[in-house]
Amino acid sequence: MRKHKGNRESLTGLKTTFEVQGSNLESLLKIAKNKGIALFDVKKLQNKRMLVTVNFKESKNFFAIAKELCYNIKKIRDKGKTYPLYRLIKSFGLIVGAVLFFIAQTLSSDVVLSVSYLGDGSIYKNSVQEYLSRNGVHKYSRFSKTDLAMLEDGILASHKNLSFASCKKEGNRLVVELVLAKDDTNGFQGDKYELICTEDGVVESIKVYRGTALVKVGDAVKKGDKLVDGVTSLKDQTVKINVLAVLSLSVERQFTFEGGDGMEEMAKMLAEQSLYGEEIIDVVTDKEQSGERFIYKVTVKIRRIISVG
Amino acid sequence: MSFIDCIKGCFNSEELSAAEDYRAVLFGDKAIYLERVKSIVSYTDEEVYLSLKKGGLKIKGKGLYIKKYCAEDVAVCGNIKGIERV
Repeated sequence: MRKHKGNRESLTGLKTTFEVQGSNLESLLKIAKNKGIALFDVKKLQNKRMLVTVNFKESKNFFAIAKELCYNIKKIRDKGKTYPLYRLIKSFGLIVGAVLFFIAQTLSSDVVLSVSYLGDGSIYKNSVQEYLSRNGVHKYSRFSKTDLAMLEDGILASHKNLSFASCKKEGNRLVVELVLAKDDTNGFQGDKYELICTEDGVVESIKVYRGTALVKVGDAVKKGDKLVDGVTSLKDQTVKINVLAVLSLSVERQFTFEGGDGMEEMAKMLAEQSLYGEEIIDVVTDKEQSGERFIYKVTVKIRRIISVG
Repeated sequence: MSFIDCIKGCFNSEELSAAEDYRAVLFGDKAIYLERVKSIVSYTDEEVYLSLKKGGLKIKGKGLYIKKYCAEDVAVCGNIKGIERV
């Protein structure tokens, strides 16, 4: 038994399994054995087929012998405890490629290829862009040399109209999310006992936590209108209470520009620029011809939010 | 010296050695290991017919397969029902 010690040791090594088809398969086994090929896990299947496993280093010999004897032979798989190591060695080029790809991906994903702005605060895009440029964030700059947390703080500190700023890396893209600060008193003057409108507009939403609403969604309101009253009925008595309410108002602004033909976008941009910092809901541009010139009327809807209490 | 050689030594019989044309080690009914096998004459999953220097040997059972076959050694695994000298 000891004379085949080498073969026994190779039981734990790499092996190849073949499927052989043909008549008198025992003859193939005998010839292979006589050629010094160790055979393992010989299993007969139907239709004169057989599965046989040989040591990997002898697999080529076995394949050649079977072919020479006109057996149909095909390789099924490689197996063994050392098979993963063998695969690693065999696919060395693939591994090198994968490593190079990973390194290239890591390096390339470190480069800022674009900056995108999200959120209602993106109306300050130009200003924020300038801030980013001043701090070395531009196309082809490196993420690794940028402190995103410091950028966020800097954007917030330099833009009082923003309540939130977030800078995130998404692949090669720097995503800047900006949220506008809600000015509670902007456009309205209210005290704790009533809410007075100081600007013409249309009520978009109203929430009254304390007090009595005098308007509803869709109502057109004018400057000076009382929107929420600080009175309520309690056991057949009218009592005065502090008002606690939040209201959103759609306000229209109109701009007129004069210029040549095809300047709708320019007029729209100028109108938006004039309302820099406002929350724009909708922009509509009308064009009228006046002689050789064109009159552009731009109607911009902006949102105003108020809370009192 | 193998384990079988040790056992053989206990019998202290020279005739036993001279008459020995094969060796077989049975592992319950699950496997059998044979030495000095000339060749496999025929093989199915119910019967393995081995050729020895003198005569032959039939291993009968169910689901038989050759676990190892190299040089003069054969290991047969499966559910071994019996061994017959022919």
